[in-house]
Amino acid sequence: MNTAVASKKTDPRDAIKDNSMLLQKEMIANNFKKLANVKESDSKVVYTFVPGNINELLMCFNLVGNYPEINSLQSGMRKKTGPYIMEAERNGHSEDVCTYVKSDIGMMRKGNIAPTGDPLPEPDVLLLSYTGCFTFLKWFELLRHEYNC
Amino acid sequence: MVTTDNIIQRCQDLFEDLSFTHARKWKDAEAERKVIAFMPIYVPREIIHAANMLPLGVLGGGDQLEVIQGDAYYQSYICRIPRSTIELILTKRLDFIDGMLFPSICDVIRNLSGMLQMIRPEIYAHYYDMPQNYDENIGGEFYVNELQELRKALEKVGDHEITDDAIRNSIAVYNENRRLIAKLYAMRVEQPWNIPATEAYLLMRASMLMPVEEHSQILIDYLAAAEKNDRPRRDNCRIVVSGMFCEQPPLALIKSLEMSGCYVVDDDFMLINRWPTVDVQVEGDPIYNLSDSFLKHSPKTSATYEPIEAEKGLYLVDAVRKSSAEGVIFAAPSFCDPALLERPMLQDALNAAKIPYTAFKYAENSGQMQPIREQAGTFADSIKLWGEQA
Repeated sequence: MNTAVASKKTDPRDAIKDNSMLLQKEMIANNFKKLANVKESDSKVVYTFVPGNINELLMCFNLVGNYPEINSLQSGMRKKTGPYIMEAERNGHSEDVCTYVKSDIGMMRKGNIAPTGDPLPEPDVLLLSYTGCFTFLKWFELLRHEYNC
Repeated sequence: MVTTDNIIQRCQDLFEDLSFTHARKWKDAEAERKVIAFMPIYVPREIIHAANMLPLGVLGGGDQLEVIQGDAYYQSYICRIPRSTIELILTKRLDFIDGMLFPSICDVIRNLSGMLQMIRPEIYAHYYDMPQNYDENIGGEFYVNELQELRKALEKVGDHEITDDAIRNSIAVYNENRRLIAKLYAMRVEQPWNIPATEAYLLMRASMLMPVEEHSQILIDYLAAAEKNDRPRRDNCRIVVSGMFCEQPPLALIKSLEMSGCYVVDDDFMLINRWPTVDVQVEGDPIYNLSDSFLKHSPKTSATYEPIEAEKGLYLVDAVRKSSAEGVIFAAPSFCDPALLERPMLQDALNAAKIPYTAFKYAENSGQMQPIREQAGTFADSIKLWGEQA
């Protein structure tokens, strides 16, 4: 029996995206823009994590959120994490722990350039809320250690 | 005559017995007795003891257990202790336990509690959540509730009340045990050649497997016998080992450190034996006292949150100073999030204090000790032969 295999190459951009996917993409892009323009908008910057965050409250104080795990994910999708992870490992991080953490730490140490290519602003606030994942607790301590605050 | 050799042989026999025969015999001696297993790094054993139950420390399967079924439960990037613990459960080596506690040390141990609930739904499985906030009005209130929840659950398991007086009595018994362990550690700092790391380790492991009163007597006997020993004093390097608080190293690894020219003068092998660091208050509300001592006198570990950045890692610097150590060996299990994520911060603290260190990883079933011996030996030589004190 012969099996026919589709050989026509397709462009991933032709795939149908749900509205929620498009909205999410737009929201993330807008947040990176906000971070890049934070000086002009006279906002402050909070580094915090996605799960368990208190965004509604932070927004009331004109704080723009920078989310380390989104940075790592976006860097990963853009194939930028390799040098970041190696940078973190050169600074004592083990090769067998969460690469989200190492990608983020490495990105900071290599100039803190966002996955979009814009420089990320320094934090005014570091905020750890309960997340249900132990790694976040240590990740926060590592961020605090990097900024010595 | 009781000698350190006799005592250590007994401890080693217990350590190697993966059927937990001693605990089984204890349970079989009286019909109403129960056994509550627990995992690293800390549970309030006083409450289990007060319920006339045996707290049984389960620290994985070591290097003698072939893990087959346990591997099927976990991805390749997860440490080994949950795999071997699952293996112990599935092979019925733990079929005599009446419950098991899983402290909030990391995500893997937390989720292991759910595994037990699925495998053995008929027994009590509890994720024991310790506060990361040490404020009395926040973490303290939470922790008192957590302790009361544990107390009520054990009352249900044992089908009898756990009175305040019973907990007070248990606090006193464990205070005595912790004082004896402090004495052992102090003696090792003074004379590490007379308290080899392997012996100290086996003594600590024995405490996981027997009633606390029996363990205290072993310590009393060992301390008395050790004072009579006159082992040769070598020009070894005094080191603190850090990172071994959950998945335990093979005994051969500890032996290898000594053979490579290191005296282990402090460690974090079984933190529960020295937790809290001072006596728990006996008089008064025993639940409040257990909570209060936890908030104020817990040892600092990689599994806990340090609220003050300036103090991050200083606990390790203090351990080095107090034990007159010359360096630190970071030895952590592969894939151990708490130990390995903490390490860069600890290394920075040691760098600032000009304390030398080296690091390697292991698994509880690591078999090749030669590379570890070479690394530890080179580290010791670098300090003893070429360090500032050489």
